[in-house]
Amino acid sequence: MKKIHFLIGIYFVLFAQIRLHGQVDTSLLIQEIEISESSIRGKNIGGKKDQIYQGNLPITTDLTSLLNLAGGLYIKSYGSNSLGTSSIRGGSAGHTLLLWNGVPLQSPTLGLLDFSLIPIQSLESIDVQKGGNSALWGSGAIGGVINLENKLDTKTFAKGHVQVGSFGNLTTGLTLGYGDKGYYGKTKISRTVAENNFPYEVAPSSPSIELTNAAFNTLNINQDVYFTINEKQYINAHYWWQKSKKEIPPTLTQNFNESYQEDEANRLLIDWNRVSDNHKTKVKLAVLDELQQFVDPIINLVSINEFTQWFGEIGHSISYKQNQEFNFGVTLVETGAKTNGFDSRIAETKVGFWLSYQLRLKQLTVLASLREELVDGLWIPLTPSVGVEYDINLNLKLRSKISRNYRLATLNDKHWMPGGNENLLPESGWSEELGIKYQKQLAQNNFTFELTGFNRNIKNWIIWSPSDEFNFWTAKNLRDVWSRGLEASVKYHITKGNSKLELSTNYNFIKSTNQVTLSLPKIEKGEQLIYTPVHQVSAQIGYAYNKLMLNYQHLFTGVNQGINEVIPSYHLGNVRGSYVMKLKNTHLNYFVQIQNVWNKNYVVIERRPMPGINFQLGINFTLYKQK
Amino acid sequence: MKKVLLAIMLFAGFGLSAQTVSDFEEFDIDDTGFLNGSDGSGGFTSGNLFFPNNFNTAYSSWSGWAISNVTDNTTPGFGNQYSAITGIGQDGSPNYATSFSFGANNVDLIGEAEGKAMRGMYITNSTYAFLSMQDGDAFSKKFGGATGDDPDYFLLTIKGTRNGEVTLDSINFFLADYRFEDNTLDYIIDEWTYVDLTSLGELDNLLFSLSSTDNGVYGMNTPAYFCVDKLESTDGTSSVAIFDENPIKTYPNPATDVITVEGFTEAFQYEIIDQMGRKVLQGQEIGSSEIKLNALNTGLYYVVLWNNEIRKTEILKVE
Repeated sequence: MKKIHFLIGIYFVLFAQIRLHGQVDTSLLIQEIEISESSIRGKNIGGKKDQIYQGNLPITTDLTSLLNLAGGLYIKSYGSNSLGTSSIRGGSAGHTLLLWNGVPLQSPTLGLLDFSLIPIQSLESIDVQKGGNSALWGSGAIGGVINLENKLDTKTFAKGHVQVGSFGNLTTGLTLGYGDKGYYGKTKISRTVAENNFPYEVAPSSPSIELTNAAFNTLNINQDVYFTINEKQYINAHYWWQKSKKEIPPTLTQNFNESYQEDEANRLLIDWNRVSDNHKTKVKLAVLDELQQFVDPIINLVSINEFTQWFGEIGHSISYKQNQEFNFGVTLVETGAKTNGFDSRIAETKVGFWLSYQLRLKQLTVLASLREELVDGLWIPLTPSVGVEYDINLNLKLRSKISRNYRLATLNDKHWMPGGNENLLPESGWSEELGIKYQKQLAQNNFTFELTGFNRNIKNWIIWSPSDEFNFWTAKNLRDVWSRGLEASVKYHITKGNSKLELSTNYNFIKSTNQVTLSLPKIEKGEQLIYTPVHQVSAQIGYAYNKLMLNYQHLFTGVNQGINEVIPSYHLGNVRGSYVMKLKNTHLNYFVQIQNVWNKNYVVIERRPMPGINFQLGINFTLYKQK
Repeated sequence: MKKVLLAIMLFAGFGLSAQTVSDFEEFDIDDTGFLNGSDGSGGFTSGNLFFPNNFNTAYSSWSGWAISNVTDNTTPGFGNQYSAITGIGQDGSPNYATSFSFGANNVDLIGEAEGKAMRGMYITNSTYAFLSMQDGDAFSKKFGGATGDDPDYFLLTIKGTRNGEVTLDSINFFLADYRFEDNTLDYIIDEWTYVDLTSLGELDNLLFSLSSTDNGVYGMNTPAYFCVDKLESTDGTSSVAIFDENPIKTYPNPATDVITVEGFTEAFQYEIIDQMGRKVLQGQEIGSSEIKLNALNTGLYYVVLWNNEIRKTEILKVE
């Protein structure tokens, strides 16, 4: 890891503690002029957006657990606290774009990010936008976008949590917020350790054994600074340092495994914002520096994956006549990466241009966007998108979106020796979706029903298969995938006096099939993609009375195909109970959680055991600022 | 059991017409422990056999055959891909050859071996494949699976070509066999094992292909490696034609106290060897004759009959 980057980060954290003097004194609240990502690019008109976290829930889990149950996504997990990647609407892990304050976080070599490494505590807001969004966000936004954001929150003074759980789990975290007038800083630190030595059986009749080599250890430090320059300008800075070590346990058909993965990431983002009557400008500058090391001592393998990305973006938004918005911008990404498979350090330069136009009429909102990208001197075909939202009446809303989306080949696909193919085209195709949302509010009761149908064709899907000429596998634009399906969700919220009842359920029906037959890998035309279940259901019941809250979550994942075996369908249940104590400015939340309450024996990825019933209990506390 | 067969075959080979053994000892291997064709030679010649190699200089990757003297037979994984699980060549000789191929691999019979039969060869598992089958790894399952009951196998199928046509016969050699009901009988080959190739007949080429029960979307998961040593070709005038039309007959079988040998026109030698590899009878006869078996206990024996022109080995049951 580059020591210099870490030191810079530390100085930044220390510097942020010092109050700045001499700025224009103003009692202006920073929130009033805050420019969100969507106000610069345009909202996801026509698409589906779910806000799944807003800094309000006392969550001590990682992103994987949150997305699985709340987001209605399919998260492929290799085990408790191990590699978690998403599949939205039957897309691959690389088809989900993960953004941190608008900056793509995925590894440029692998094209994905491990969700289990992301602590909820580092963020203030998480939303999931399903559907193609390349027109605004570029490469990778085929299945959807997961937006992780840091937002200004001057109400909280301090936040913390301590959780202990089964299999040596200990999660701790502390957040401190401080500031005055035009300056606000937030320091967060969180740590999770787990042994994960849960008992399991390799086969139904086998004796119970403990999982070995499965320990997990992460440490995250975040520093956010929100600084008002004057009534029109403000500047934010975010620093995120992440260090983790994950041991990799043996599979059910493996006698032992001593391998582990170590990751260290340094992320720094500065954005300058300016607001005037009809104009908003956001300039972003970010640097991402990551080192990943996979070690298998038994086979003497050390695989290093290191990259540095410089990210710069200028976005501008013009409002016209109160009902029109014109946005445009340019993004520059400069990547340098080195892995064991590369001959030498690989550099990649990407420049993207986007523009969008939004029109709001009485009941209709239309957003049209267009993007063009230049990658190492080659132009990617234009990606347009049109989204429409129509309010049929107060309760009923119709929305639709048509877009062209793409995903660039990863650096590994292009440059890995042997087999990398520099001439790979991006995966691309058209998506269409149509959704209807019905919402009814009666006194304090709320009912929502939403149904979305989608259809997507992706051509030139990259897959590795044996080369015709050589004795190794090579990356090719071979596959053609047709994804289509339905997403249905129902939410019902009743309040009566001191008690509240909340019911919600999500159902996903996804058919994502290969349209081209290949001999190796063995793929038949019409066959569902591997690790893509056709049916998925998640449901939640929450009951709150005074200070007590009880919550039950149920997850059903349908049968799906692994690489060598069929993954049987399974049901999972989680129970959570909590008790809130409010004293003056302090909120204390005591909770108990039972996961896999039915003690099911299941796997998500073939041959990777998952834990049976397990417990967590802990305390969350929040200190609010005195009024 | 295998050692006995080994002894028989070696013994039977004694005093025969010319043959050549490809033992790879002519290669000078440096500290790396292997020759994988990186010099672009395209293959290796040992004895009267040519072992082709395909080396891609752009990516430093090879397929076909490599010559090896690697002794590390405990380190698993792709990094130790050249090693044989025996850690040494057959009968203690340092060098051996390792095969790696996506599809079939082949060996060319050249020089005096071309068009003649192959006598036999020694085969064993590579360390990489052996440990992968025994313990499993990131991609392959351990043989037997999670329960130990999965009927897995790793099979080497040997065929040949003659004048461009593939032989009808093939020889199946199990590099691992877990199909037994009784799991204690499951095995993965870990010694140099002799395989008789005479049934393939006259050949220009030997063809080797691997198959496994551990297959998935990405094809065969078991590492596609195996090792060979001491391949014997028959050269010169003696040819399989004589073996095929072998006029030597022995009867009765099973026998009790005497067998009759017919077909020899001149003098011949004989030996009778028991299952432990011990010579129990030997002698010499002329033309059609009888051999007395009085001294023999009930059981199975090997009867080896030969002279300068003809050789025959038979299994005889004595009751």
